[in-house]
Amino acid sequence: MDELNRLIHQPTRLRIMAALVSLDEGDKADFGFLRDLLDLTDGNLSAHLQRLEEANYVAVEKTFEGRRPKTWIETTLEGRDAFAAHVNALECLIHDL
Amino acid sequence: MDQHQAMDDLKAIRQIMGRVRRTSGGGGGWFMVLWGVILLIGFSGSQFLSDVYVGGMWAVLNVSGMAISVWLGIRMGRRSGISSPIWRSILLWWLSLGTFDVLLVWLFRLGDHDIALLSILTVALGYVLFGLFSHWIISAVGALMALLAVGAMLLIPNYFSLAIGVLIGGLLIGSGLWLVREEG
Repeated sequence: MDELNRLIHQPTRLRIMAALVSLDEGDKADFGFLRDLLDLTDGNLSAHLQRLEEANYVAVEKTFEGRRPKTWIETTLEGRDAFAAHVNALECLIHDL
Repeated sequence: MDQHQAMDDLKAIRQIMGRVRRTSGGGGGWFMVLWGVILLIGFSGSQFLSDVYVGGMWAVLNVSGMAISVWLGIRMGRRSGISSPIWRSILLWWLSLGTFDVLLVWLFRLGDHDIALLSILTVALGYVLFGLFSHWIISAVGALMALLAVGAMLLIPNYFSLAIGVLIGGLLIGSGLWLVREEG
């Protein structure tokens, strides 16, 4: 039986991971897109992304579009597995397994 | 953590996932509308215009269609805030099918009607297969497209171009608009 993941369990990180995992593999989300989708501030999102990046659950790529900096975020395979295990643990808890 | 909290978490996950899917999947219908308009103009024009102008008209329509498709793809990618390698695959997919058609036309020296039917059947096949990986409506449109084209060829061969222009162009425009509305 899977156990709840302490890192993903935090509400904001749970929503960040849910948003990223719902994209197809190889797809990346723009920092601004995530910030607006989850209604977060730049600093708040950055801090949570840093935690997830340290755990190797997400990969952050900084690029330039013309002269404007762009930050793209995607989940790693490890992140997808960890999220799936966390969701499985939530479902087990609901069904009292 | 208790069961209620777990349920709340799962609900939040589903909500976020739904919102992202609506954002990332949206816009595909506009491509169907665009190519529906192109087919409507092109095939209707082929019915009435002199052969001298038909080739030039299709060249203008196809180049414009491809340019607008690329512009639409880039614009939608920017607006959605999601970068996806799928657009390159889609472009390659249609280019491969187009190249296959050109080879068949060249190898078998097909006539105008055969080229039109081949083009429509290839597009229909493309939609059927593409729909299997995206939205069922796209497969249904592809299948209906093939049926309409073959039916028009058999039943009203003298008005074949006009028939497929109106029927298939209309089908693409209608289903494209439905998909746009469906995707929100």
